[in-house]
Amino acid sequence: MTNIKVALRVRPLSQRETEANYPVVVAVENNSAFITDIRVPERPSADSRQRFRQFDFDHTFWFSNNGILGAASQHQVYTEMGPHLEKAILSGYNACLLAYGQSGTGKTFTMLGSKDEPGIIPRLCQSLWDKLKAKYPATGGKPGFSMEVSFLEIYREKVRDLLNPEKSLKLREHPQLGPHVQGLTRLEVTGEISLLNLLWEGERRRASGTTSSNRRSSRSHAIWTLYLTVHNNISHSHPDDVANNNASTSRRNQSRGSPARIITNQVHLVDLAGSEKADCTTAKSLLAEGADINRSLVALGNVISALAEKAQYIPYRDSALTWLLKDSIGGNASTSIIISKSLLFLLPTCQYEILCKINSRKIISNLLTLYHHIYVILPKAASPSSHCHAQTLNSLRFAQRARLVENTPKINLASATPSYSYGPYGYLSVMSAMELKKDITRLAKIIKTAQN
Amino acid sequence: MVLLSNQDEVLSRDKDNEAQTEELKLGYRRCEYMLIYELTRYAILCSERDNQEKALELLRKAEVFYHDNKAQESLPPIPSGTRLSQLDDLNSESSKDMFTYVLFYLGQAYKIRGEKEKAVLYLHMVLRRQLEKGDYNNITWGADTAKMASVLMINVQAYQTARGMLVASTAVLSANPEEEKSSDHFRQTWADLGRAWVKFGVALLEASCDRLRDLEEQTKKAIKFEDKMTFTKHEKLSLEIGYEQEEYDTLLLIRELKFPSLDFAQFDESEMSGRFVRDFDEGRAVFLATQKWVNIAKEYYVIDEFATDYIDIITDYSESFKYLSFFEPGLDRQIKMHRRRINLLEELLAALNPKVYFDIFYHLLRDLAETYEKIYKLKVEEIKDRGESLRPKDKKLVKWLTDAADAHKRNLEVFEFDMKNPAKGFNQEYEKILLACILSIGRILGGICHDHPLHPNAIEYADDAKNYYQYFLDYLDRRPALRQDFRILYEGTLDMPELLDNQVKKIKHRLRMLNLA
Repeated sequence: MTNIKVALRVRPLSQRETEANYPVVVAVENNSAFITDIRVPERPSADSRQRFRQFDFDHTFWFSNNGILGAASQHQVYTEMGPHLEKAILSGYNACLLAYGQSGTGKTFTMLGSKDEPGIIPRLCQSLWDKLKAKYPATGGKPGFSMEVSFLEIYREKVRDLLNPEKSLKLREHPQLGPHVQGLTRLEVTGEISLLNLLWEGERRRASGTTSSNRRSSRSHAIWTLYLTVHNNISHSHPDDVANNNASTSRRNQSRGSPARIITNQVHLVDLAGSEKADCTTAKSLLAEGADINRSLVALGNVISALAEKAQYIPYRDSALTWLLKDSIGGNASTSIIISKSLLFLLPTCQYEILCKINSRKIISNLLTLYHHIYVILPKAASPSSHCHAQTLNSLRFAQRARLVENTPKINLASATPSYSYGPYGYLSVMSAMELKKDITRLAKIIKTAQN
Repeated sequence: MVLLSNQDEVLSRDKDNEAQTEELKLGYRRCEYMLIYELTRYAILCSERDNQEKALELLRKAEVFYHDNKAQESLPPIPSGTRLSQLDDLNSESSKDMFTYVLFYLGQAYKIRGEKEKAVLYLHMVLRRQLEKGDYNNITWGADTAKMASVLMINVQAYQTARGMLVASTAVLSANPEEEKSSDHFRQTWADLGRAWVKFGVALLEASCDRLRDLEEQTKKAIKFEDKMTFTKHEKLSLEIGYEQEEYDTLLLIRELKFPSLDFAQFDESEMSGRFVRDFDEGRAVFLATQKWVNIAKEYYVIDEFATDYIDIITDYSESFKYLSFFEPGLDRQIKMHRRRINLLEELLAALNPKVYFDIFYHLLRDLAETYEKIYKLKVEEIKDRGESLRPKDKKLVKWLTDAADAHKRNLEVFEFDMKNPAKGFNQEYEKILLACILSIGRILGGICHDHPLHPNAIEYADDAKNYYQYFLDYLDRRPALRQDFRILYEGTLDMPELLDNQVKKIKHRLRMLNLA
């Protein structure tokens, strides 16, 4: 049984892009996307790569250049994706919504939006609040439900509390609670206004750590978590409730049809870091593991690969993100546990040149492909030495490797290395491969001349 | 590359100038150094772009180049102040350092490629060179060496080398100045070293047991290294392999890995030996050392903060009791060891949340059930040795068996076992294990009514056993494919319900006779 929905959202061209007259390579029709690989020549000759690829999704949201027919607004996106999520949450399941994509592709816009055009998170929170209030009204002076929120940021494997930035947080693993963040602020929500205020405030704090070269928010992961506790579960005939089975649920009365149950569930809404940083320095780099430019994203990919391949060991502990989301991305449980979690993967806005490679709609392989077959070719990536092209190929190759992951015992030589992070002259200066290559040929020539 | 472009200019402008030609000659030589450096950097870039083959090729080139050109005599030093004095020739100290980096990256590249044997040799050389140079951080060096030891431990024949590494790591970490010992990094590394020692101790005890039992599958766990290796001329120079051979025996080479510059005699004696254990005294020595390191590891990895790590340590600790008991001649002491094991496991199970750690639960519960049964067998043996009858001790003995069955039952609970509903399937991954649990319960409870027929609850247990057997049969009846896998067990079980019925009849008859008498 699949609970995973895959969606694609394409953002409009920016002014710069329109002015530069870049070719549009994405076309969307009836929940399918057609991508043109502009590097492949039109004639059907020697090149074996296909020029056009078709990919199927559950939902597609398309922005055209001039915002005409078919343009999907924030409202429309929520109307299509929201109800499924809400239903799962209100039935007592955990949910997890991740937004993946390169920087600038509109993840944050889709997830959070702006005050004028709120995204999924504010809409979801509002809707949940309203529905819960209606479904579980206060009885005898006691509220029918309670909602708490927490908002944290993972930046370079360090966790920061966005609702209370002065606090330092530690990732701990408790025998009863499992992996959790020690000291994380959980604030009770008293009304929908306070909920949204907390959201915007936290987001502001996230962006406040900006460096000049890169917006910090594009390199950090933000996890907004809603903790829902329902005190009076009146509807005991819901069939899904029986299967409710998650790590943090505390049920006092387990028998079906019991009138008074306390159900808690969590909703993780994750705005991941820009994925362009994720492909380099994977586990297979010569540089030691200390360089964790975006370890969490890479680790997430590894976990998904492992789940897809039904590996014996799932590397949750490789990064803070996967460790924290362990029970949301579980896959080694019995069937009932998997069913009880509703995973919704949203591929929000992609740049028009995004090549998405999603081969099939099988459950986990969808997850896999979503995570690893997305790459971007920017206009200036015609030369093979460009960073983006390399990243493109990296994604593909990583994806290939991920697909070939075998479940065989492997020696963990990964950690048996002396710890050199950088070369003999300090941090590697940014010299492109071309320059190095040229230099090497030149040096070799000089040496040869000297030896003759 | 300002230096080189200027050099080119110089070349073309003042070709015939004597003094500058001399400088140029020296400059050319120093280009060699730059070449190696740049090859390495390029290799790193290639690896980042996932072109691992190219990276390895470049590094090998660098290696070859270094050895080929190093042999020439040292150059006179360049007067400082000139541009070229920043570079160095290949015989200098900084060249050696740079070459250590090249070796390091080579080790990484081999590891990525899957040639773990070469990777181990190269990375060991790096550690050795760091030690000899004296330029290392105690903590990181210690951590790296401990990790390398963990890798070597997977192969039984490399145990001595692994032990050597652990001892070296202990020596170096202990040599850390006191102030640094309170840092979090040190404490964690020390605890990790502890865990490596514990794993070594347990592995050693297990291997020793296997050896003495003369099992056919002694090496069932060993992931072997390749038997033979070949090296190029340059690789032999890098790895300082002194003797010439067509092919080298991998294990011999690995056994020769040492740290000659390190003096660790005091640690050598105080830590556990790397030799196989042959009797109880030797076993006890290894055990006590293991116990010491368990306590060190537990100091850092407390259950409230590092639950999974703590579980790992305790599991290893409980295994050490299991293997030690093999060497213990006295039955009563053996039983005591198993009881310690039960205490450890029960304590751990009580502290954990089954929903969060259910995959660990089923391992622990199986171990627990196994241990209860083992104690039962030992107790029976003990009584028989004394020539006594089992009857008076019935209740206590049966308690051990019911505890074992209960452990299996707890396992089933975690997976929502429903006796009345054989149609409900288990998750495929655990199906076979759970069926084995069910069968074990049937066997244990059935055994009770057979061996202890006069126990007050014997009939109850027999009925229970029958239900479990029946469930097993029903479950497989509905799943023909699975039934095929379990064919032999299925056929053996077919008769069990009936046999148990007969057993019950016999018991009832006997009771009637006793009552009448």
